Amino acid sequence: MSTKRHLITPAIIAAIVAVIGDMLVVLVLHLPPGHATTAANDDTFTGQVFAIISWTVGAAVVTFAVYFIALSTRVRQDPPSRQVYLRSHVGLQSAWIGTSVVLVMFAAGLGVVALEGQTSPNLVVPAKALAAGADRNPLIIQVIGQQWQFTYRYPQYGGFETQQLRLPTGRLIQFDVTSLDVSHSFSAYQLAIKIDAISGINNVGYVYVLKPTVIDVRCGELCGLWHGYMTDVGPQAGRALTPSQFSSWLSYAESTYGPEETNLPKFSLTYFPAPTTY
Amino acid sequence: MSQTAIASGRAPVNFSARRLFLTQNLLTACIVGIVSGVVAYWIGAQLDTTDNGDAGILLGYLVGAAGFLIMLGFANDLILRLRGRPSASLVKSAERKGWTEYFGISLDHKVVGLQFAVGVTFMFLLAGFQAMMIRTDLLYPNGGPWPAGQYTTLVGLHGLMMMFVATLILIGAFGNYFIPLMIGAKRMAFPRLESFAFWLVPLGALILYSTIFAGFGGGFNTGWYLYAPLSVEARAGMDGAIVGFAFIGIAASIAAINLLTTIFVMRAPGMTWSRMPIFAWSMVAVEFLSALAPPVLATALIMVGMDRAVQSSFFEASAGGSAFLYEEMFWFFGHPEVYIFIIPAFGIAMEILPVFARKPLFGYRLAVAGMMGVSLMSWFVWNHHIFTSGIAPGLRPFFMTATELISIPTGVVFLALLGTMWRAPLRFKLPLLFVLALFFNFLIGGLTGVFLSDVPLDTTLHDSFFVVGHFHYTIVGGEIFALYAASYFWFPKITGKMLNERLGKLHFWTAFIFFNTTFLPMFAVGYLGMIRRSPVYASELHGLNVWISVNGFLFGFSNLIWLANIIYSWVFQKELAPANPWESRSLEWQVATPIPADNFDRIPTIVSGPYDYGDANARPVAEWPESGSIPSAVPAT
Repeated sequence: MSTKRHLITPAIIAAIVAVIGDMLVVLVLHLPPGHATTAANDDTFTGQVFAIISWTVGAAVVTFAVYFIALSTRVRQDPPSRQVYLRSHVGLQSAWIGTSVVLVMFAAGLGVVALEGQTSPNLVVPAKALAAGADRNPLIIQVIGQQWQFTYRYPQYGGFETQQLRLPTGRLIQFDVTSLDVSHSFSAYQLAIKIDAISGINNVGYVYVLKPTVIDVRCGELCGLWHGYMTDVGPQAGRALTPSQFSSWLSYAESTYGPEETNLPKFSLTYFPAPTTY
Repeated sequence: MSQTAIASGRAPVNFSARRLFLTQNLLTACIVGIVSGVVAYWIGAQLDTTDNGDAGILLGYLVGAAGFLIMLGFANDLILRLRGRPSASLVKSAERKGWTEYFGISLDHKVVGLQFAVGVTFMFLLAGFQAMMIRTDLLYPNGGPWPAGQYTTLVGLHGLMMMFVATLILIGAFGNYFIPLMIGAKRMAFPRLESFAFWLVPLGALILYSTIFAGFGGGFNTGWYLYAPLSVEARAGMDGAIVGFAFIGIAASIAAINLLTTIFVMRAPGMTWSRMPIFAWSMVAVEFLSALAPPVLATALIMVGMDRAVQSSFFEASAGGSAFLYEEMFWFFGHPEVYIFIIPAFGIAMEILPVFARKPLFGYRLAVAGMMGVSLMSWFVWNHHIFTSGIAPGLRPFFMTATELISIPTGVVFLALLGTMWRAPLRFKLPLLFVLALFFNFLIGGLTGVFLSDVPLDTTLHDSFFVVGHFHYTIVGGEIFALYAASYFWFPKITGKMLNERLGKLHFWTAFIFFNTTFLPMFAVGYLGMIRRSPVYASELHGLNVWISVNGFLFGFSNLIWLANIIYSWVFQKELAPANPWESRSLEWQVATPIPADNFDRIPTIVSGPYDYGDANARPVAEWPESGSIPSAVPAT
């Protein structure tokens, strides 16, 4: 009987610790990256769920360990007849593996569902917006990494190229990411996307922005001397604009940057080894 | 040589100029290495048709390394065999050469094990010093005292040197030293290869450090990934990084083949698979990875070297190559590599725990299956490092699930911990304290790994300081704490002296507390968007980074306490340790200290498992052919 007691008591303590911690996680911990896009919503939610799982598992293991450490001083005084000699226990082992399988499959399922919703263009746009007649045709923005700057091309509007990322809310956006030299990574923090820019490869990612926001863009992959300075933050940061603001920016940008188009290579998905087009 | 000198294991050494300069020794090997390297560099530079001189540098490093190794004596036996002469004997009992043995080729696994332990610990402290330099730079949000190029070189050197350390410290030092003793063998299967694996390590480290000098290229700017095409375009310092990194891979692969063969064919009679110590099992699990993964790395590095030296353009998109190919090849090696770090740490933890819990290891068979499962599954997860690099979208759910599944066999190790601790009369000696700290740290490291395995979340956390925190929790918190535990545990067997308890306690508490206060905030700064390998960061994160840096310095200082303890206890402490201070049942503790040159005068017969603590009727672990000089049994409780 007493042997079981030293499993049940720590289990009760662990449950209490886990529940208190989980409540704190739900109420107090507001994880980034926020709610600016559908992907950011997913990340915030997944992070919250994983924080709950992690706290529960971690608190349980640590509680059991601390309990057994505290118990050891008492066990040491036990007569030899009461000391346990336990090599294995099929029930406990099966329960342990079963629990971890359930947790892992839950985490994997959560991830797969969120991933499908972020990578398939038909699922990125929220159902509510679709019902209200949102557009499924994406606005294509090409992100070009180069040492040490990101530039953005808008092929549907003549293919002009800017150094500022501007995009509209309430519309599916498709990023086509490539590089002119070494590998970079286009990481737009508030959008909750990170897409590597690799020369010769066109990497695609989708985003649906829910509300206007500042977009901090950094290069995520070590790309040489000024990697740390390859950022668009602060005054240079990107912006997600309302549709009307975006269309006025678009007409400004087309008139400003459009004439320079003749100096640029023709728009192409990749620029190495040979231009490929849609 | 006097009789007493042989008995004490120390021989008088007489030096003369003739002996120093005309025989094969470390000094002549260095001279020949440098001269042959310079000559090869000159020839290569003449042959090189391009302006960058990479062919000369690569050739110089490789020929110089070959000259060093040949002059050290690695070709001697080969030449003898070719000439039809018998090669040198492997029986060493009568030929201990004293301390000079540690500066040359030794066929004694205990000498090589100690060479690894001291050499790699030195590299660990050196690379740790670079970590301090990195943290100094990050005290300032807009770039610290080092220019951007030197900062990335520091990051790369710290990474590559720590790869050396993490790959080889547990396998090279404790694997080589204790596996033959644990399984009842007189030597390793391939003693020359064992020594060869060691000598690649200082050679590789020297080559890596040579890159920081302007004449050798003035640093390299890719971090330890050496991602192409950046590494193809980088300055000449990259050549040294390629050769040095390849040497780690070759050393790991050779050491692995050696240990695997030793465990498979050289076990003492009665040492069945189910009686083998769990540390030996962890070596079986890890060496399949360590033997098979590094050749892929070496291939990728050769391809980068060819891209640099002869413009082969494997990885240059502008000439039809693929930069993505390098990422695939690198991580096909890179993921098994991180389990090469941690599986021996599991082995050490589960080896030490029952000794201090005085209970059998809970779920021995399941723990073995868990380690083998980790080893097997680690081949199927490498794409989680490149989720954002544009892998085929259909592969991402598979690799996400595979990555999360690997936590099941890992969790089994935690069950072994908890089960062994349950109602155990724990003895809180230093090795046990470090094992408990290891499990706490690795718990955090493992749970944060689940965040990174999730593809949507990984798009936020990838390449941020969250990743840095995660892998430092697993590698430093897991493996380096296993190194601490192992050093306190096996030090009496290696040196005959105990490590000082008071200094050890001080080391434990400073290391455990400051490790956690250093790396826990990294999860926060990573979540808040701080990109790794960047000398600049958002000014809002300044306070947290200063906190991390200060605690990092304190963690670094606690390693100096460890070093001071080792030096003090080894050199200045007079008191000798008993042969079996922890009352362990494992075979390596049943031999005398200092360990005889051939380990066992008579090969023992193993009659029971090593973890039958607490069983009053347990048989002694081994029977010796004729009892007498060697203690064969340990009190059961």
